[in-house]
Parts: sequence; structure tokens; C-alpha cells
Amino acid sequence: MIQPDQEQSVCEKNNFNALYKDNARPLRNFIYYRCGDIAKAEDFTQEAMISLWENCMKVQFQKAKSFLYTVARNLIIDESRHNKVKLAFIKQDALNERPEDPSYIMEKKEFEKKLEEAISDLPETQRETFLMNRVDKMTFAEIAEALDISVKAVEKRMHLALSSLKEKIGELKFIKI
Amino acid sequence: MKDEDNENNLYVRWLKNELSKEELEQLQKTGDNKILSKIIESVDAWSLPALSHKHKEEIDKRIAEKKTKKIVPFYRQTWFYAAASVVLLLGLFFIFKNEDKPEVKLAHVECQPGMKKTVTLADNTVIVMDGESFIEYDPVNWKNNRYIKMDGNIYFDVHQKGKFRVSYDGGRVNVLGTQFSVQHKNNFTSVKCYEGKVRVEIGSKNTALTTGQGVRSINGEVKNFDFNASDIDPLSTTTTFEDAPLEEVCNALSIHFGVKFEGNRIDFSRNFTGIYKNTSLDTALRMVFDPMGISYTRKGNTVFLENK
Repeated sequence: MIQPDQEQSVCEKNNFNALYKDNARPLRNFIYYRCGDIAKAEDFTQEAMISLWENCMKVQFQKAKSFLYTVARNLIIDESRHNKVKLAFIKQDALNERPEDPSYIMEKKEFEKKLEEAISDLPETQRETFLMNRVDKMTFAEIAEALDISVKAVEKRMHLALSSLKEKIGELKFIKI
Repeated sequence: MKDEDNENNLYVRWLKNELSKEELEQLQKTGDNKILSKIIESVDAWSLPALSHKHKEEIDKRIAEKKTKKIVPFYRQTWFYAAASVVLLLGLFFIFKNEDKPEVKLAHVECQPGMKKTVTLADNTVIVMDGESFIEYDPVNWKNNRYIKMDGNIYFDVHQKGKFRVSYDGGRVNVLGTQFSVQHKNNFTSVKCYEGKVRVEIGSKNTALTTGQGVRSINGEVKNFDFNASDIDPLSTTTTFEDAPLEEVCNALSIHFGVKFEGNRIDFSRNFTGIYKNTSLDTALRMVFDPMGISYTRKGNTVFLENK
């Protein structure tokens, strides 16, 4: 297949580096959402990038992101999908918000811990969609492309995630936060 | 959770600020609005650690290693490529056997499904067997008599010049090159040249291949093809295909895992581009057949295929 001159080639190191810069971290996060292991997520991210390089002649620059997520999904396929994951995030320090209010700080900490658990307990599809949208700031269209599903499917998962979280969190007593 | 809420994705519309006045008021009344806001506000501020510089450096290092692999002398590597067509006259083989000589004792080396085996011959030719394969050759007279009989998926790296022929049941390949692979099982043969030059005799057709060129024969039908010769790693845990007929993919799976495929209504000439992990049969089957829209059922060593 002859590529037109203007089209960017993935085999060009600068282009490959740009793809790394844009996609490596969200890709690593996506894998983490599925397996709950940061080290493994980083390893698989490297595998996916290397696979992209090895196939650089066959992958169009515009399709590179899709390719990366496809490889990542295939790499995780072996892992048991039914293992519980316990995700942990870096959170905004409540200390900065209201430093003079220690009870607020403690309550917020508790709230975020419960929220983290609730998110970890979500079914995998809802969990990853929700986190890709809120943490990685991916649009529904970008998520759809990465996961090879329709935008409608993304919206459905997002709705179910919000609904489920609302139920779980609503049962707690931190509403005053 | 009301059914209508699910149908029109109430909470997603809330997120996008697309709610009607009444709907928003309802959520505020129940306190749901506050809860949802708190959730979103919190998670929006969460993050995961940045990737260290080392992460990218390691990628670059591994890519550089793969690039220089080809230049490093074959016998210094821990794995080897086999590519190049080898023609071995089955007939000659038999004539050779019947000559008035003391009986030649042949070496017979086997490899099992799911395994790989490397063999180095007296002339420094290195052979990597992948999956259910065997080779047979004359070890005593090897240097003067480079004929190998084979079946399965074999990779060759031939160093010294001179006659080198490979035969399998019903065919043969003549080597002029250095790195090539021959995949053969029943009526399927595929020869790929990774480096050097190879002359292939398949049936009545005679083809010369150079780097990145291959030829395959399915039930006697011969076709040339091109492939990416730089992405081969015979000891890798993933196998890559690029526009390969499904027949070839099934053939490779058969050799590697020792299974048989049955599917009368399947079109095996359909092309497959993709990868499969060869560490687990179930994973590999899923990675090949799910994208093709083919369902598969395993019964012992046979896999039955049906169009979805």
C-alpha cells in the first residue's frame, strides 16, 4: 500500500514519540482500571508501544490510538476479568481547601475513600468508561474509538456508573460535604 | 432507578447539562443533584502518577535492540530466524537412501505442540522448530549432504554457501539465501524469505524470493505475497499476520497447539490481519476468530468453527 507523501508515518521516530506523548499515560491508566496493577499496566503500555512500532508500516497515523488500545485489550484478555480490583488515586488535598476545619478534612477524606471503593466495585465496563471520562478527560467519542464501541454504548455505561455511584454514596452520611 | 431514567440516560444528560427544568428540580428535591455533584467534583480532581522518563527510554532501548538484531551474527543470538525456501528433492532423498552404501543413520528431531526447539548443525546452520514439527537429516555426512526432511513450522538460518535443500511431504525448497521459514502441514505450504535469496519449487511453479517476499500453496494453488520481514521473532509469544488467508492462520495454530480445525461452511480464504498470543490456546482462538465473526467450540484436540 503506497502512502501519500503528506500523510504522517508512524515509522517516523518523531511521530512515534508524539503518539507516546499523547497516548501512553491514558493507555497506562486504562489498563490500570482493568487490572488494578500499576506496574503491570506500565509493562503492557510498553508492549503496546513496541507492537505499534513493529507494525508501523501497516498502521495509519490516525488509527494508531485505536491500534494501541486494541493491543492493550488483547494483552489483558488473559487476565481474569472477574478479579476484584482496588484502585487508588492521587487526590486533591482537602487541607488546602479549608485548613481551619479539621472535621471537614476528615469527612472529605472518608468520603473520597468510600467513593474510591465504590468505583472499584463497579462492573469493569462502567468503571473504565467513567474513569476515562472524568480522570483522563476523554470525550465520549474518544472513549468509543478506544474501546471499539458506539457512543451510545459509552453513554449507557456512563449513566449506569453514575446511577450506581449515586445509590452507594447516597447511603452514606457525608451528604453535608 | 426508574426504567425511563435508564432509557433516556438521565444522569448523562445531567452531566451534559441537558436536563429539562422539571427534571433538574426533581433531582434537587431528592438531593441526588448534590450527591452527583460531589462525586463528579471529587473524581475530576483525581489523578494517577505520571510516567517516569525511564518508561519511554526502555521502549526506545527495546526497539533499538530489535533493529540491531539482524546485524548481530546469527550464532551469537539466543534465538534464530528461519526464512528462505529450501528445495529438497524427495526423489533424491530416496535415491540417496537406496545407494549402494552402508545404511545411513538419520537423525530425527521432534518438537511438541506448544514448544520451541533449537538445533545447530555441523555447518553452523541453526534451525528453530515451533510447535508440532520434526526434521530428519544425515548428521554424519551433513556438510556434504545438506538435505533436510521436515514437517511443521521451521525456521532456518543457513550460513555456508552451497547446496541446501529442504523437503516435506509432496514438495521441496532450494536455498540460496540465509534466513527463511518453511511452514508445511498436509496441503498447506508457506515459505517466507527474511534475508538473502531463495528459490522455491512449489508444484510446477518456480519462484525466486528476496527479503520480505513469500509464496504459499493451498491445495496446489500457488500465490506470491509480501510481508514485513523486520518484525519476526521466532521465540516471541505473539504471532503476527498481515493479510494472510485464514487457512494459514489455522495452519500455524494447528502446528503450534497441536489442534485440528473443522468448519465446512467457513471460507478459509478470507484474509486475517492481526496478532494472537501463543501462550494459551483459548486466548489465541478468541483473538483470531472473534474479529472474524466465527464461533468456535473445542472438543478435545478438535476445534469446530461456525459462522456467527
